[in-house]
Amino acid sequence: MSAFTAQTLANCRAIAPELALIAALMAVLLVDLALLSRRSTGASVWVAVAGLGTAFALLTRFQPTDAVIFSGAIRLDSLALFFQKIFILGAMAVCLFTAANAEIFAEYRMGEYYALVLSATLGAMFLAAANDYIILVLSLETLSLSSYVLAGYLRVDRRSSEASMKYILYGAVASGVMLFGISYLYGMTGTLRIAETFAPLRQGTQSFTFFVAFALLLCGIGFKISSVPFHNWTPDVYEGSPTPISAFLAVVSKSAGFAILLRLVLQAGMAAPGFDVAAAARHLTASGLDIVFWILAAATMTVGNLVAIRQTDIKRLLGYSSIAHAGYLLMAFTVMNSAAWDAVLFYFVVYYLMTLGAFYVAITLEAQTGTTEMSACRGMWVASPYLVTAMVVFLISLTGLPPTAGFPAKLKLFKVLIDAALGTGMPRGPWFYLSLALIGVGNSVVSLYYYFKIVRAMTLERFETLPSIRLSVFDLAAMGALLVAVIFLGIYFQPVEEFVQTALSSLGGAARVVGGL
Amino acid sequence: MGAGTLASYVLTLITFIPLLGMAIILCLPKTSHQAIRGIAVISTGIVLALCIWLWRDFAFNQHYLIEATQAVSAATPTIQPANFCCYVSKPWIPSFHIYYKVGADGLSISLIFLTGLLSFLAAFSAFHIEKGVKGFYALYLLLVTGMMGVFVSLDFFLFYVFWELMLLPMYFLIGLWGGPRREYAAIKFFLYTLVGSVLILLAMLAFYFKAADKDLAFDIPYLISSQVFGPNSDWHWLEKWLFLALFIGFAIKVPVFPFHTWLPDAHVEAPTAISVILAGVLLKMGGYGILRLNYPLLVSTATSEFVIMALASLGFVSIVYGALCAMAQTDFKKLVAYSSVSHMGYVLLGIASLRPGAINGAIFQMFNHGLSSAMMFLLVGVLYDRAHHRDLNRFGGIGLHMPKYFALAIVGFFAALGLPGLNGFISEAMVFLGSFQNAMIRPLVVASTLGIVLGAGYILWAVQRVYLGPLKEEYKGFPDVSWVEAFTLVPLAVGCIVFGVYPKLMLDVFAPTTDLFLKVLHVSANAAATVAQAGF
Amino acid sequence: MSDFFQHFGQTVAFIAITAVVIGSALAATFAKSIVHASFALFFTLLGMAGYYFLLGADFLGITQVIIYVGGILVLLLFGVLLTSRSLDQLQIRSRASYIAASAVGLAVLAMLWKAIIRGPWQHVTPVVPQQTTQSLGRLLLTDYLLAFEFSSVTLLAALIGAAYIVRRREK
Repeated sequence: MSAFTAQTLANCRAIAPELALIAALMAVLLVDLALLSRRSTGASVWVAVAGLGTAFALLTRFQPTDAVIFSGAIRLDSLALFFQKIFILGAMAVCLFTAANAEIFAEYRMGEYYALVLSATLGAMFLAAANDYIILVLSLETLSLSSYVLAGYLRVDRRSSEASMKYILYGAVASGVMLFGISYLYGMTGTLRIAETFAPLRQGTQSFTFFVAFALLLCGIGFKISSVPFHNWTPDVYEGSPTPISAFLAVVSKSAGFAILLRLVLQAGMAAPGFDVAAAARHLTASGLDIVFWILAAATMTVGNLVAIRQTDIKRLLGYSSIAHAGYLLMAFTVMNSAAWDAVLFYFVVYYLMTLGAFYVAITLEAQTGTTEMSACRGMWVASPYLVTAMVVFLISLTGLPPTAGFPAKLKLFKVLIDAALGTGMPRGPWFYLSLALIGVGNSVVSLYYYFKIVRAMTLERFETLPSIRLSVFDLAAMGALLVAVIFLGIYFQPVEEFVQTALSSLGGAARVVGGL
Repeated sequence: MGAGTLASYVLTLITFIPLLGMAIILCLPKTSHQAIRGIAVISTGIVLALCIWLWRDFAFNQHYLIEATQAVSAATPTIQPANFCCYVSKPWIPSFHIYYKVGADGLSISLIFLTGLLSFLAAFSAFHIEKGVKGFYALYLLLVTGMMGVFVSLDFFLFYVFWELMLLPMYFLIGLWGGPRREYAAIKFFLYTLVGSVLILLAMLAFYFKAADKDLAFDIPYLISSQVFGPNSDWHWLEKWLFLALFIGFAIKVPVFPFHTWLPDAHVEAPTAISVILAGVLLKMGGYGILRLNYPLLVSTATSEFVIMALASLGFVSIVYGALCAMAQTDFKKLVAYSSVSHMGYVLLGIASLRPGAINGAIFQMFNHGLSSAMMFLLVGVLYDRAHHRDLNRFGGIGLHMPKYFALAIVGFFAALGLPGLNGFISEAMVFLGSFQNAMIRPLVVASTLGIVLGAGYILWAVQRVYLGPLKEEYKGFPDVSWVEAFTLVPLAVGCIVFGVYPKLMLDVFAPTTDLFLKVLHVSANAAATVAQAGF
Repeated sequence: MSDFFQHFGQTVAFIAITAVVIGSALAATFAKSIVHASFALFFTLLGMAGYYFLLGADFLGITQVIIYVGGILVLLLFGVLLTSRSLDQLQIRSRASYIAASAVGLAVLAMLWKAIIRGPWQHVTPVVPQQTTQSLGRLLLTDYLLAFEFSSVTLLAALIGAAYIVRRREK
């Protein structure tokens, strides 16, 4: 056996979770083919969930090391592990949510559905670990292509097809623009390794062309995280897609975009081993990128929140709210220190829980009442107080009020900005950070208003007929688990802190992360 | 369990027993109304028993008082954990420097006692609610936990969590079990309170970020003693804005004119039991916040001439404006609601004057208003349950027809009016006498006495329209107070009389706290007089 | 001298190819009929292959011709011919959007133009390998092994999706 083969096999062990997912993908297809009947629905979900579970179990066995494998194609550091773990858990939740609310997909075969969820997750996993542009583009395309089809999975439903079409058109343009930017970076440096293309930034020789290339790259990522001005597709696609897929887009797809954005930003300050957070911040700030992020953050949260006020469909509203949350997260990118990344990762853990919870309520509504219009929820508190309680808690958490997990999450984000404003040695004046924090606080207050429109419709508004809702045992358990998690982590969030700390361990270098507020 | 052991747990028990009750209620079937009511009454009853124990222990075992006094006599007066009885400090979220710190001093004990009493009585007065009993009592007990938590917290973060915790149950209790315009009232309550919370949150974060010792950055005694925004700080310019933020946050709850407009709507639409809690306890949180946080945290602004004048003026306007509005009402409940604005104006006036007598009066006024306003809402509730309207002009002659009810009503309304011999008189007199000593606001104090006259006016006029005169035909079939109603009203009436005749029972509890409060503000009784003359 | 001719010839070829690419791309964009647009695209893609040949990337050029020109474009034409006729007239919605789109397009063009002119491009000495296919193959199975294998997953996902979309309804 040649040295190369041996090394490749060793590398394959490092991507065992991904390989497990590929195996599960095949198995889902085969099971679907073998059973060739409606019965396959039940089997394929279990195959998919088992595959995801295996992948997760394999992931937890990894020690966070900073390993660059496959000739530098991917980089398995603790940051990648963190995102891969939450992707898998998110995907698993989406699969289970789908299986528990099969009414939404009554007329469709589900084999391909689970296969595509797996391939999308696989794309997200490679994206989080991408170390060169080829893997970045390939994994992004895998994630996108699968998502396009999933968004239009309800083929007979006009809205679903329309959502898919819109998503494809926007997505194709975004990918094209991004590829074009990458071609510039390659032209200037002659390499496809992400870190090496940022050499001009580190050497202070960045040119106008470099900025154009970087901006084009940001366009592609901005589309994935639905940041203004690439956010237009979000509400339409969330509204038209089957609701479990809306949830998938809101959690897995969005966080995959943030994972690669985070990696790009950190790659600007390479250190061996790990990243030099301070150097990355210094280089990017010297190029004025923090101003770009300031504008993106302010615009994204403001647009998301203001437009959300007028919405009457819960899915659409959650779509705008997910835009707003992208804006909150982008706030941390203006500061770019270890505390900022700590806050971002912390926010993601909480964001997964509360967003999945809110979407699960929407899924139940869609499955049982056939619509997610707010007016259809009137009288819900009589029909199902449990559902309403769960929704109230998730929405409070999305707003960021105690005693839910959304509060510490948002507090950490704001703290990053305020610390930057009060701290010395920051590249910009205090008002640069403080003003963004104030915009964020204002936006949070606005968000409470529209979140409470849902609560109001469910509890206070008069109703003529009682909506018929019957929660299954799984519904109760899933909502209950998320509910307990959101409240428990709001009161005691040390576990999340520790989880995030291990994720940041590979940032290494001079700037060890100092935990907490 | 020995007294010492109980002392370290009593505040935690008081706070979380209602939560336990809520958990039990959630496990009960929806239809077992009696069991649900029973659990609610038992859990609030245990809390009340613990509150009484706490009050007695504090009032009669003087060692806490001695400790408090020792701190006062120290050279550099400050508030320390030693000034709080039943102090417990446990790390909660170490990475954020958040602790579970609870403790009680005279100020909180008087209000904890009030909360325990009213939540127990209000649980009874909600027995007639038949719609969604399970949800009602679950939310109700959650509310009680939130209220108790606010009064016992010595960690700013913990305080804020409990403060927010009250918001939602209240929103639903008004919005789901309220009167015809309940949605409007609930939303209005929610939005007002939320603005207040956001301001408090911002102030809290400002303290957290500037605290020198990060590990104590949420510790209220530490924040008071360190005065990070004091005159020596680079960030002194921020102090007045923080004061404004905290003050508006708390003033909305009090409510102080012009932040009071949520109150009449919320009161009128809320079910009787919730009105009792709203008037009896929630309004006190505003006053409590001002005394516990707003003033001690920001001493140099709190003692500035402008703030004294501004707050005293707001107090004066609240007293007179509230009384005038009350006089103009034809809805009985709205009248009582506006009377709260007026009565809480005395609290603000007393605090603003920074004179020991007046501050003792203000705290006592909060306690007394808790008793009398709760009683008035219960009295209105009794009438409303029978007549199904609250129009003052349509009543008449009920007094002689329902003699027991009339007797209780007279005690309640006259306590609110400030009749000598009843509790309201003592506290109002203390506020006036105390604040009169501050020369600067003397004209305002004199003008505020108009409130007494107006108060007598609207209460006597209401009593005359409702209870006196010839009995109208439609009210002939009304039964007198039932035993449940009597059970809720009599303790309050007894309280009004006992604390009117022997106010020392309660005054002794918080007098040392007031002394310490003034020491922390660097205003001693003697020095204050001279400072005031020097144009302080 | 031969150097000069080689250089001159390359320049002429470059200008010619560029004229074809830009001209046909414009034609594809502004064509009123979707069939015309498809044919114009044919020349654009063919021109791209010309660039590759000019740069000595013979394998890439052939691939471009086979996949884009021979495969994708033919598929596109099939699609156009088989779908309903309502698509053969392409219209720009309104004058305002036309102007707005042109303005944005020109602005982007100006930005890219500036970026290209001022770019610190890496100039490699043009060592033209005799045969790129072999080295490409070697690279694909060594340095780019993961990308090569992973692209099969991407294609599989695309295939599943396509198969799902075109499948007839079960019921």
